[in-house]
Amino acid sequence: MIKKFNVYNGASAASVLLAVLVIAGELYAPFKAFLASVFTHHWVAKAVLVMAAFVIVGFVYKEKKIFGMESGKAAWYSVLGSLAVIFLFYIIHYFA
Amino acid sequence: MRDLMLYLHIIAGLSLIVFPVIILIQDRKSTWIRPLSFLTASISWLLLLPSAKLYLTFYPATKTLIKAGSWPWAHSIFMETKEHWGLLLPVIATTAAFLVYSGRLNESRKWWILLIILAALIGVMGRIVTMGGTA
Repeated sequence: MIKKFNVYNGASAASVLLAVLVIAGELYAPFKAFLASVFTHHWVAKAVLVMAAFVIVGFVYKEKKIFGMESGKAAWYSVLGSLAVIFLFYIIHYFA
Repeated sequence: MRDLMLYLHIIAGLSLIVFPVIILIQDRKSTWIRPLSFLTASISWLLLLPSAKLYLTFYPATKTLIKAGSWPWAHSIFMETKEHWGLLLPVIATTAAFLVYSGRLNESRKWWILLIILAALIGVMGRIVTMGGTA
């Protein structure tokens, strides 16, 4: 089980997807409404899609590099980047 | 029901700070590291349940109060950030626990530290949001 799952690739995919879903949902209201219509609430939609990306990409994509970057490093920067982008986006979105 | 969910939410959130600290200060050969890692990752997933109940059922009324009050940014910036940062807690905790189980203890350390910092920041944001409801 452990050898079949690349946790770093899963973490990279999940964190990048979360940032994309957050920004896309806020900038394009119909997309947020679509997520809500399918999953009852946009937050539930993001939770399900992010966790699905974590599990599926972790099992399916087992390469040790992502776009030429070592998986562990890519996962670390993806997660930190996602956290920073989400916070900065909501600050800018509030004042814009 | 609301209070029960709130207590579960807070206790589970605090455990995502306390357990990783215990894991980090354990001796590398400690037999506690693996079960504690598994427990922490499990809690990070289970935490989504009280979080969802609070956010979807009880928070909308608070949100209305905050947005009508003098701290509307408490929702627009901090709650929005908090509710989405929280979705990465299981990802981070599972990554850390997975590294422990695959024998990469040193690699897991920075992920446990990130989990501690993130859980603490989310707690602080929760406090700001609560204060926004009475401002």
